Amino acid sequence: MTWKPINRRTVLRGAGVALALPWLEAMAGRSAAADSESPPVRTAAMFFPNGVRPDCWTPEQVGGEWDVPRQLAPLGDHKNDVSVLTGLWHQACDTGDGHYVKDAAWLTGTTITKTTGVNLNSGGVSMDQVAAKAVGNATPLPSLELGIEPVRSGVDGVVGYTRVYGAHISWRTPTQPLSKEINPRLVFDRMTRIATTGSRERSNRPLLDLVNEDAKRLRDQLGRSDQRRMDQYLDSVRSLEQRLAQAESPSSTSWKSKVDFSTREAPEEHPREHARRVKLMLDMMALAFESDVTRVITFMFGNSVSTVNFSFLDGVDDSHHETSHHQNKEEKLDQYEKISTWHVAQLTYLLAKLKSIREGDSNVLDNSCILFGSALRDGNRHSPHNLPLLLAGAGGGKLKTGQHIKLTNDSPMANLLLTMLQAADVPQTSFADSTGPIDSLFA
Amino acid sequence: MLLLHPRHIETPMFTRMATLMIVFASIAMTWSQAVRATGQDMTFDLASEVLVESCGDCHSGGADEGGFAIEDLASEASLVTQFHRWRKVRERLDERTMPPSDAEPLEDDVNASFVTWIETSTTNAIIERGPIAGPPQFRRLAKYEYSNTIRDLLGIHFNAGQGLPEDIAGGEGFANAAETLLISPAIADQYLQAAIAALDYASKDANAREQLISTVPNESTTEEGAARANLRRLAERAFRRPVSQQELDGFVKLFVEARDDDTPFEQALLFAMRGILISPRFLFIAEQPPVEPDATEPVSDHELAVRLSYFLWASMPDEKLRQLADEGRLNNEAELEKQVSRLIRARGTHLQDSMEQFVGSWLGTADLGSAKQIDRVRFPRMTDPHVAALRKQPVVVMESILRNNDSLLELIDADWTFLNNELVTVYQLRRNKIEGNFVQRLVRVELPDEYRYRSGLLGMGGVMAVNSYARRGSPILRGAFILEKMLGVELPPPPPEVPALDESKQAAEAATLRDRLEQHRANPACATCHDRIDPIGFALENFDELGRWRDRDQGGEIDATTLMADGRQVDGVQGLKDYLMSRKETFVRVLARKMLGYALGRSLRESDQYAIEKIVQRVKDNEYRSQALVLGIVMSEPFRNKRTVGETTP
Repeated sequence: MTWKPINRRTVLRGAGVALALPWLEAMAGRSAAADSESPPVRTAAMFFPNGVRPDCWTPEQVGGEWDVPRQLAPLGDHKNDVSVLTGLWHQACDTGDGHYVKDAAWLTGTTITKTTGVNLNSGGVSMDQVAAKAVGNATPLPSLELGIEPVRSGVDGVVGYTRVYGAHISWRTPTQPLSKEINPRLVFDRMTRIATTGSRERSNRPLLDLVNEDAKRLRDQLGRSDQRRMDQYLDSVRSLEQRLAQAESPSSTSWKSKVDFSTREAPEEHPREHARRVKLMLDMMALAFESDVTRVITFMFGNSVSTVNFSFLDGVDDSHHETSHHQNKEEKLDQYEKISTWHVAQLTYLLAKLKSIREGDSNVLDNSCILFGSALRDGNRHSPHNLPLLLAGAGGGKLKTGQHIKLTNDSPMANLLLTMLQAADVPQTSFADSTGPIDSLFA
Repeated sequence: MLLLHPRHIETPMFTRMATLMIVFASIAMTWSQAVRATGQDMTFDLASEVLVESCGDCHSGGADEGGFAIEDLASEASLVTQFHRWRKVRERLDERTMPPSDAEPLEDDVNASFVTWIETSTTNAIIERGPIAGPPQFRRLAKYEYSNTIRDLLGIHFNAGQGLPEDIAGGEGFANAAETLLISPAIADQYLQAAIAALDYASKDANAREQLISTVPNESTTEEGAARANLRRLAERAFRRPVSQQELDGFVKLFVEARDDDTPFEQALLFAMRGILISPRFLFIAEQPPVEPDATEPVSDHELAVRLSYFLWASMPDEKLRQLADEGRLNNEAELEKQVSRLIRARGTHLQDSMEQFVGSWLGTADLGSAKQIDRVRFPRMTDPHVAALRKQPVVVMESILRNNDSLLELIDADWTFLNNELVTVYQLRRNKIEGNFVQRLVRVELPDEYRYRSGLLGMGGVMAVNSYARRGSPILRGAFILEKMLGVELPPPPPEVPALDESKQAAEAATLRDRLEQHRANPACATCHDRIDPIGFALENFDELGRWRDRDQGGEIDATTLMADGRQVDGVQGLKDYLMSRKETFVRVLARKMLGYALGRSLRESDQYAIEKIVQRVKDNEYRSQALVLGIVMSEPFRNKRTVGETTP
């Protein structure tokens, strides 16, 4: 079996995608019946760089009963909200350098083009953007890209890749990576603005119409690759125009925020501590899902070759990347383990938060499908095999959690990405080099 | 007879010799005989023979170790078409890192004449081909350019770009590279919000407001007329060129509609001004492409003003440049020279804004305090001002070198640097040894001999800190930094699935004796780079992870003497500076390349090589003075001209 039956609603949505209906029309197409249906499935992918300590990540037992390995210990009560996936990789990433090739393609499953800028190409669209294209027109933001770490300046001359690759996992097209927001305050402000648009202020839409005309004229003078850039700006202007049109229309089918942002506290501007920044950004993720500003989020704990210094953890005195090159020395392995364990603790914080948000008879976590993991396994060897991957959330009841699923070694990770798309009601039968969804994940 | 690398002994000798004979049958004597017997100059044919004999085992006939095959260099045309390959060969021979240590070395005199020959013949070939322009500029403003431009356009001290996404460097390593200035789907919203906030700020600042709304309606001027005049002034400065009536109509219409809805005059005008600030004509630098395909045209005077201004000031052209462009008087050598000098010498922070980008990205020191954090647990007394001073030091040194037209070689070695109170503390300098009353402002300080190690880029803590791990320095990061950023060496990536090397000198030295040779044989992929990287890094061992001087570490006395691959002994930082001075032309070529890439806002193309050679020549002819570098760039073909190029045109 490679295909989950999809309901009528999904088919309608799929048709909407195919016709590329603008957001407003897609909204109008939602029937009253849709409102009484189950809450939407949220999709998220949470990436951390530099891999994990390889010898205490994978549970020994397979199936529903497994002892928690040391690095997964922070899951605690949430053990049953996640499944551990073993044996997956991206064959297309078994090439190039140690990091960029793997990290940029984590959600695309393709081989990126080696470049310092010209001919930037990921080789494919990322899973989250496939989802955003399908379900994103139901919300003001098709997707949200979040992160923590500023990008280092310059190109990585040593490996000859632009750091664009190491800082982006979301690819709207093979040549358009999506910039991530690293300031939690700006995320909050943006969501607040979206939730409260349509007030007495003069509409900015006429400005956008003018810009649109202007950009089209300018576009005609340009060469082909420059036209592509101008088209991206035009797209950006048009989607803002549509969002404002929707927000300003008095229609009862309009999107409404499920959160009153005036009751929520804005996060501080620039916390210095890494841990604090991560916590605030995870709060923003939860808020975005709770308010339904978007249903698709990617989050990067760090960029490729992250040099975030983890000496704030007891017993750690170096940066993530440096620690990952442990040379099999016990004292370094110990630090490496502490850093990945900390990342699992952050996931757990988010899971607890999402679970506490009620949604009808269920909660937001149960209606989510959250991938958590890294694009290499053992940082010391830059090993692309057997990636450390967890899948959290029941996908609106479609997924069975709490399992350790061991697949044939070197099975395509694309199968997992495809499974996530199907859980989010995206009518997709294949993705990258997938051979089919992972059946044992479905409830 | 050739001495073969052990790992290639299985290659059939017969096949290789046959190939050699076919290709080079005309050459009777071997190169060494020829060079020695007649003292004759190196020629292309002789050079080819050197390559075949000394490099062919690993780099020809299907063996192309490191992606390099000498067949690519078989024709004289390759001096131009494979310019970078030839230069890499030169680099490896000059360093004596090729042929590798387990192969027969080239004799010293032959090696030297070969190195010189490659240098001159590739340069001559490129010069002979002549200048070639590059594509017209098309890119959005980088985030920092946007912020600076709004500041200068509206006359406000307000960071309008703070809500925009971070730009990531591409091309030659700068955030203004056209290729990596991405357009995200959220960017229109972000630009709109930034425009609203900036205009709001300007309307509340008396001076800014007066500048923005200098024409008000009265008996002789209608409201619409006044609005049009104000909008024209803003649009012409924002779009960095004259604007037609028709182009203005759209913005005037926005004003009229708002006014018809009873919006007050000023609010209606500010509303229309938002339109200007989110117009692609403001947000993008979009030069008019030449009409004829493959034609080269001078950039227009207004385009030239924009190029000049964003290069040297990281912001929009000022009144003077605009005026010269309006009058069509900018694009001639005398005027350009005058303007370059003016922009460099002008009071204010504009030059520093630009050097902050150029130097900070070139050296990576811009990351200090953001992507590169100082470990506050280990260094509790390092506060934000200390980190800021480390970040700023290389910028103000470069700025000073430009303003004073000093030699660029002072970046390698000098008897001065810039210091402030924080840096004197970080560097633990004895205040009675240096003159000056230090406050937070960085000032130029003459260094006594004992502190001479603090001069130049290598003496800067920021440079050492960004090439260190959180709690220890790294000879490998530092060695790679100097090779890449100062000598222009492109190191290949470490092969996949290879663990990191032990960085201690002891380990490296242990390996030099017998283990090293074996390690080399076992994994030549490591030695080929680390023979170049590690010795350089060891010479900097006196600097700790903050760039502070140390004579000892946990391992005992620091030993900063090191042996370069060419057998040259280098003693500590001063020895390394001397070594770099002996390669000053290479250093200047790297600097020229970087700065040309920054000035053009794009990756350099093969066709830009002529310009680089000419710039280097100009710098050398002018005693390495810094303004010769800037003038060389501004006068170059790719800076002053544009050409239609396809995606695959060189």
